[in-house]
Amino acid sequence: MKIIVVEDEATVARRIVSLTQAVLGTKLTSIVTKQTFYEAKSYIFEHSVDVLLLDLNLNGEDGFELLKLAVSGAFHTIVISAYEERALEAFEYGVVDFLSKPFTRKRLRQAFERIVNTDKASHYLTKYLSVRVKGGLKIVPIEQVMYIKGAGVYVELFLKDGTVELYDKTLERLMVILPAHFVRIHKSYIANFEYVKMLHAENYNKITCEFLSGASVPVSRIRYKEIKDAYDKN
Amino acid sequence: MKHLWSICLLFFVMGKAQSQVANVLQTKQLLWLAGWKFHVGDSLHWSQPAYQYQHWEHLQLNKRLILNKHTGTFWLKTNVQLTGQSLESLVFHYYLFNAACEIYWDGAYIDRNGTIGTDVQSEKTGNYTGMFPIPTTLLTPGTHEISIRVSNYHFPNRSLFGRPNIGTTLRMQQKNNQWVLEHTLITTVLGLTILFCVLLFFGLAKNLSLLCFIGFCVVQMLELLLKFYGVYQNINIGLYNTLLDILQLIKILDGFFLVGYLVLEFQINPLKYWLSGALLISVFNHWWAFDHFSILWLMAGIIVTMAIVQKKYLAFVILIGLIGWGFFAYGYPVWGYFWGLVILMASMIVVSILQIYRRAQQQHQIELRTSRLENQLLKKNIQPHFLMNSLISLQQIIHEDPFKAEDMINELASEFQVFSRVAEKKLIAMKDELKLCRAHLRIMEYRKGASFVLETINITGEERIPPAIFHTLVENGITHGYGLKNQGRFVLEKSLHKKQIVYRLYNDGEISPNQKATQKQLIGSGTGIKYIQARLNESYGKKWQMNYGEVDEGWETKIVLPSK
Repeated sequence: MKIIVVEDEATVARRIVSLTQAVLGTKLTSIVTKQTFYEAKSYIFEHSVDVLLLDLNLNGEDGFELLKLAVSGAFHTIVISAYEERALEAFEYGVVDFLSKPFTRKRLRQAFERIVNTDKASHYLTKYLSVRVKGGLKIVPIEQVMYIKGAGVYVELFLKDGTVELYDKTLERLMVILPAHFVRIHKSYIANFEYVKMLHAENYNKITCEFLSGASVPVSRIRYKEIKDAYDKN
Repeated sequence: MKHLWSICLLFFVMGKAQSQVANVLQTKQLLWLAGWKFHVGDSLHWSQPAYQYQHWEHLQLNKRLILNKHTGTFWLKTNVQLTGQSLESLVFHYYLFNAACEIYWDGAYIDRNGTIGTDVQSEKTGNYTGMFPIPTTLLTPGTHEISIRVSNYHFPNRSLFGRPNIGTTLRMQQKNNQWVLEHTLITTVLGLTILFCVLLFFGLAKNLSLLCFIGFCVVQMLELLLKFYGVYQNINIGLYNTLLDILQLIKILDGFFLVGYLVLEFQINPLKYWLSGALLISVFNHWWAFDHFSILWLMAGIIVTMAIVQKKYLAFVILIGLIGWGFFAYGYPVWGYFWGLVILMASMIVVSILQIYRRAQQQHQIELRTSRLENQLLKKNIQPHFLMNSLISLQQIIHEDPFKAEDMINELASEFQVFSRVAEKKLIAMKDELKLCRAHLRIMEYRKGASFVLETINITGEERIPPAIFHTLVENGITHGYGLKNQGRFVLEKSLHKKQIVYRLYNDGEISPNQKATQKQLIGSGTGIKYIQARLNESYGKKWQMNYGEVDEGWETKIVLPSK
């Protein structure tokens, strides 16, 4: 796992690095520390990163602007902040976890487990996806998303109003932060079950999922049973 | 009252005999002449005392009747019985005579006001008021006939005259003095009230209710001024009438102002309806020429009653004023209206001032509470995060260097000790402030692995300043200026300029290029700066200044405080 830490206080940065090393052990392939998010950005531009550990002063608008920018990236974001009371808001923007200072080794391990172990991850809190568009960021409310199609390192968000947005995360990473009614129905698709009209199983080879808008996407044969159960429950 | 009494008497007597005596002038009395008879037409013969006029039409006192019915030349007659000392010298006085007239005493011509004519062109109206001495040769005990020859082509639609009266010269002079005195007094009271309210409005409280009060007084004042102008300049009745018409129009507003004052002062809702209602009633009232005062009083009475029912503060004071006004206005015909008005105005001033005082008190309380609250809240907001951030560093330092950790805990303790000691105070000694700053810098050294120094120039340590303002600035300086740098220098300098003390806090922090544009804005909107502003407001009101901005290789904040 490749990690980048953004923390302007040297002592705290050392603390985060040493704890991360202890928690991840051999799973950690690289860890770098940057003092500001802007420095981190240029690093991220040239290197691939799995997780951003972001120390954020969330007191005031600027902190959240930075957060929105961070979560629009391809990597997972874990926020570390002394502003515990802003945690819920941070989750709404799709951070994987929120560590309030000071934190323990155990708490940091839980945060990493959320990333590795997708089953445990769904915490239902994400409300917005921060999408990078030309000239800035666009905040897409998650209930606008009908289904999501994987396209390599990107995904395409198919919205209720018919528009499509590109989002800089893989389907796997996105699944970690999506609420439970978003279900992986195919290796390339995630469906928002609130907008599913019905599942069609015409024959064993062709199963499709039809949305209220009339759009239709394929469903994985292998996962069909599991998906059907989830659909019936929903 | 006296003339009313005479009129009653007249009614009683009229039906009985032919040559009745209409008025009897007692010694030292001022007699409002009554029992007037009138006859359309013109003949000098009618002025003769022997002429029998009891069959003439009785002059209706209801002005409307006479106004519309009689245009042209006509005669008015009444008589007066003289007794005792009143024979020495007599003066005939009248005012507001809307016609040209000639006055005859027992058939002898005495004087005239204007020139009687046969149409609008030939008639010349007279002045507002007139006073004719009656030749002493004509004054004998017994009954005398007073005849007035009138032509009213110019103002057929106006009341014919004010109240003609007769009395000894001495008595007339007394009456005039009294008039002048009362007029001057009331005008002064009104004028001072207006001035007082204007000062109050601009100096203390820009209340709309005060404006209404001023408006009400000004309208009343205008009426007094018109009377003054009419009497002292003795202007032509035509000019007087024009001014009177304008005044009547302006007087529409006094109901609006009075109601406005009450509604605003006692917060009677819905405001708009009351105000437009008052204006509407005043306009109708003007149109139909009802008794202006009664309607005004009634409107005010209704609102004050509502205010009392709604248990509004001090509403009863206005009720007392209103009752006083009504009592005087009806009880004392000539100046009662205005004396009553003085009572009403006094009650209004009392209410206004007490209300302003109460509001100011409440406002003061609110301000005190908010500023206190703000201080506490802001500090509460800052401290825990500082503590949390320090604790996480400690977690690391404990492992790396237990002795350093011990030292850091000491610094933390000392910062919090000073804090808890000074937080409740409005002003603290500079040496305590410096202790706070230094402890903070030490802690930040541990946290950031940096080194910071604080130098002072011209500081004695005994200066009094609001707590934690420089501490907050140091805190801000570190947060924003040492992201990339791990050596820092802070300089606090004091200088005296005339009546001001100027503190400059400089630090050599760097601003990262990415942040630069938004930096100043960011710092200005932060909790720290708000805290400092609240503290400075609390101790110095508006007598302080704070500026901050980039200087050569660093950042400087300048705080200017009054030296006292």
